[in-house]
Amino acid sequence: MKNLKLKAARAAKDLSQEQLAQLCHVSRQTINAIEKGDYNPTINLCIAICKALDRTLDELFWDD
Amino acid sequence: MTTGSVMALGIIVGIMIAAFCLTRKKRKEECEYDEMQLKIRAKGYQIGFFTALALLIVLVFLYEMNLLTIVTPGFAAYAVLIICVTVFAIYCILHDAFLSISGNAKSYLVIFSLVVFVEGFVAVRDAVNGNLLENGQLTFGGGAPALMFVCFLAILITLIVRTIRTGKEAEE
Repeated sequence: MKNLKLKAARAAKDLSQEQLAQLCHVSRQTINAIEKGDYNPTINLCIAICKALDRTLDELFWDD
Repeated sequence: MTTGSVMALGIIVGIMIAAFCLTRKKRKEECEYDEMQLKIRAKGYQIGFFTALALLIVLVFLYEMNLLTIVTPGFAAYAVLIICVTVFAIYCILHDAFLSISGNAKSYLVIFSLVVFVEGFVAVRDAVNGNLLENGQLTFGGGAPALMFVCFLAILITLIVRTIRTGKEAEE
């Protein structure tokens, strides 16, 4: 399932996938895979993404 | 040995150790893979291993049945090794786990193109000169360049396709 919340949060911060990837020390392909729902990140990477985007885990990774 | 030469030797050894440590740290940074890539690479190793296993079983069967007389057992074992490495590389390239986080595809493209060109040249030269077979059998000397050419060509094509697709994804 696509993670549109992450994509929206990244766009709100005006960051490209490459820039977010650099902030989280991962490859651009990994960010792309997370946004497309092809990869489930570990909690460490989720936290790194949340810190980079100034969001909480709930806001980005919790499905209601 | 004089005190001066001992000191000079000590300085040289010290510089060598420092240079080794610095380049090692740099190399470590260059070859950093993220968690998704490590997971894919682990799967790649598994696929490569099972490919080798399957090919070895087939080889044993073919040799036991005397069906594979054109290739020497030594070259066949070498071919299995190269093929399983190629399978691993292609799997990693297709799943974006071949290049490290800061890896540059261009340098790999140049290196692989060079290897393909050199191996291709040697393979064609051997074929033209009739050195491909020895006593009617494909040996290591004759077959290795041709095999390397085919495998590196496959890796190069995959890398080119993946680089183009990655570029399109980045644009989107």
